[in-house]
Amino acid sequence: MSVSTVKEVTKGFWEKNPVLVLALGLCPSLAVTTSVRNALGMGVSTIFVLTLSNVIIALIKGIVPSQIRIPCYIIVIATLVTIVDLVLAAYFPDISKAIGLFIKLIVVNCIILGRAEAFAAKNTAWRSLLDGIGMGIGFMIALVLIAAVREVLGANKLFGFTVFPGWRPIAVMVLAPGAFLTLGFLLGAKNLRMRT
Amino acid sequence: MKQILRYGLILLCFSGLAGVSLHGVNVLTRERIAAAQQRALTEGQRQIFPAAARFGEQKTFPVGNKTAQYFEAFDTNGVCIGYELLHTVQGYQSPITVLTAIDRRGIIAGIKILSQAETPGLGAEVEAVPASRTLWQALAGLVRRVPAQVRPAAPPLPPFQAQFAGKSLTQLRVVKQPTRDAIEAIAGATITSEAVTKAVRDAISNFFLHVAHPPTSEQSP
Repeated sequence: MSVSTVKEVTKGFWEKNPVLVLALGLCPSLAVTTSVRNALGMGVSTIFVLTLSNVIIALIKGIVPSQIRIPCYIIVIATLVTIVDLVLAAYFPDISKAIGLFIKLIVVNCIILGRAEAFAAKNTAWRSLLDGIGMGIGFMIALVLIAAVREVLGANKLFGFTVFPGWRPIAVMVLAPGAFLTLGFLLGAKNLRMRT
Repeated sequence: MKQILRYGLILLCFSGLAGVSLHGVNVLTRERIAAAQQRALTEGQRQIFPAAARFGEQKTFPVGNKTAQYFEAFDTNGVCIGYELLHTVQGYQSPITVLTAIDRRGIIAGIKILSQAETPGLGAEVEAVPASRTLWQALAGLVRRVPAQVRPAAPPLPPFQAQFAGKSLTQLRVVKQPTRDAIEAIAGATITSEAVTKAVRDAISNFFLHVAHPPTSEQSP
């Protein structure tokens, strides 16, 4: 694999991280990051759907007139998500039980549409595949970071296990204000690092 | 004008293709999904009403302008010892289907949420089961390779759902403090907590209104 191939995947991990740098997909980043387990569920589902949608959109970009590309992308993404949801429910009920909730939320995740518009519509299917995988993993990294902070501080837990027996957690950290605080501090830290 | 027609046609093609493929997937998966739901229902029925040996056929009763389902529960001698009620209400962002087991007086034996798609971390916590071990114990277990513990046959009920057991219709109010006489809401998910409680309350009150009557004073000893 060439350097640029590797770069296409890894750029999403940190330097162009969808949440911490591009500020995409903030709604699920705030909503599902109450526990690391939820963050992983959302992350895995997003990697899967984002990669598939990036490839399909890169393949059809030639036949979609640019004036109506957004509704076309939305139809593709919504159809894809519904198919994944139905197939999981029918053939993998256990997986569906664990991540089915996240799959349904992905339709409204602007990372998918954002990457379709900013990347897949201008690049080949192969590069879009790499971008989808990388951005998906980057999204998961950001979610797990936020979730780890919130779960430990807000629920005194990590992966659902108690961390400090006897310590009373700061409940507000698992509620919406805790999500904004954590995300704000993470964005600040990331910006500080980029500036120096 | 010609452009608009062309765009419209392209969008129509896309929507048509999407519709056809969704229909295809739906036809392929419909039966398996229904079977999986049936299995979940059967397992849930036994889990929340262990005293019952078998359950009757599904029947319906009205709740407002909707219909709900109920099953009679029989003990080993074939005596009807209670009912299970299946009712769906709208939660915060998804329909929530709740199975409620009651005895003949209307006291709740248990409830089980069969399906919901509420916000993970907030509303979806109605189905959360807390871990019994601490992180350090779990990590130590990984290193030492403690033999796998004997697991209970069915996973324990989530605490939110477990608090319904033993309650009667008048105790089905949602409060925000720990309590024994009402239902304690999940922090940050009041609407979901209210919805589940409403599903149980509506199912029981309408069931006794339309189908059965709680035993009157002359029947009790």
